Amino acid sequence: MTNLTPFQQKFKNLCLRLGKSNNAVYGALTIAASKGILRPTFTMMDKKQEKKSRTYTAFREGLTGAVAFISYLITNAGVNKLAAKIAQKTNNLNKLPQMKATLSLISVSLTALFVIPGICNYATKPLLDEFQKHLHKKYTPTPKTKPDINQNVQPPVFTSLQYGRIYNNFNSGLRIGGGL
Amino acid sequence: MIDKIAAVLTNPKFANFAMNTKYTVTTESIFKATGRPAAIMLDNNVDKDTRKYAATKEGLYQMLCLGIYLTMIPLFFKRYGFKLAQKILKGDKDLPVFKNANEYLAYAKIASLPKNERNGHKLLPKISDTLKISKEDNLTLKQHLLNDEKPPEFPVAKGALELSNLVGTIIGLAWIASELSNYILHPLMRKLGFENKNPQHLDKKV
Repeated sequence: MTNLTPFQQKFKNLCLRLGKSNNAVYGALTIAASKGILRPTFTMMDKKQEKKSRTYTAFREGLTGAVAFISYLITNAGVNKLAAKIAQKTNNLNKLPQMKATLSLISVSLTALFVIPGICNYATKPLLDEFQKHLHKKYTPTPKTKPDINQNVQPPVFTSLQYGRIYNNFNSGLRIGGGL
Repeated sequence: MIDKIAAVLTNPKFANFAMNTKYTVTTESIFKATGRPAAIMLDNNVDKDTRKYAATKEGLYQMLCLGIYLTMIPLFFKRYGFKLAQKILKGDKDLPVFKNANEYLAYAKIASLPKNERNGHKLLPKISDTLKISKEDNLTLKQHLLNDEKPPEFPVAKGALELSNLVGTIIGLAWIASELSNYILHPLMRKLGFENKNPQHLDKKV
């Protein structure tokens, strides 16, 4: 084959790039992006849950995906700079790709272990609380008449055990099956 | 000190490991499966039972996802992803007609060894005797392996495998394993005594 179509050329370039200098961050970014898109989509499609719960869960999953994606990008950029400095100081510039790859794996693991749960627990919690308040206002109609006390209807309860994937409580950042 | 760090970071074994999508995803998942439960157990703002429940569930979830992912990669993504790449780049000499991904991996493994260690290698019979880069090439790939100091590498073939693994990460890990593990997780948690069959009962406990 001498002439490749534009699609074939792009595909070949992608394979060539991955074959020559694959990096741990690509896998991590793929997981973060796909979970950040797929999970909220599936959550919103799950008609068994109430709309309020679905919207909240999908928002949290999307937010966690975004946090993970950005965290991986930032830590990887830092690690690339660090690798360049080490390579320069040790006269190993020809081995920079290997150095970057190894450091990238270390940074991805540490980011998944500490940075993302840390951000989810502390930084995104206020945002989730605000969103929860917004949902509460939106989906809780103010009663115009006196409520019927004989009406035996329980308000929806959002707990970790009912909906499976939420650690601690409805508004917790770190959750089961975070996976990002 | 910094030289020692550089030596570790540039170690070919570490670098090859870090450039393999399957290994890196596995490493990341193992970190999550062990580190996250540990982090949950250290959170003193939550009562001990909830922590135990959440830590066990998180650890099991990550291990189940990883198990499903690792089962699916060789069965589907490595096999069919490589074939698909060969179809897309049919006739391109950068991706010769290896019988399958395993034949390429055997070739790549032997090609990475010093010349004197290649002859008689246990993986050598796995490479076809007639396989050539292209019709114009006089030598077969096996002959290249045995005669060349530096046999041709095929980064496109390696990249095709990595791309298959990345696609496998989206479909296998982020989607199928994630959904499937939820079906396995609850019966498993019930067997371990963390969940009851009636979810209403559990809600009242929280």
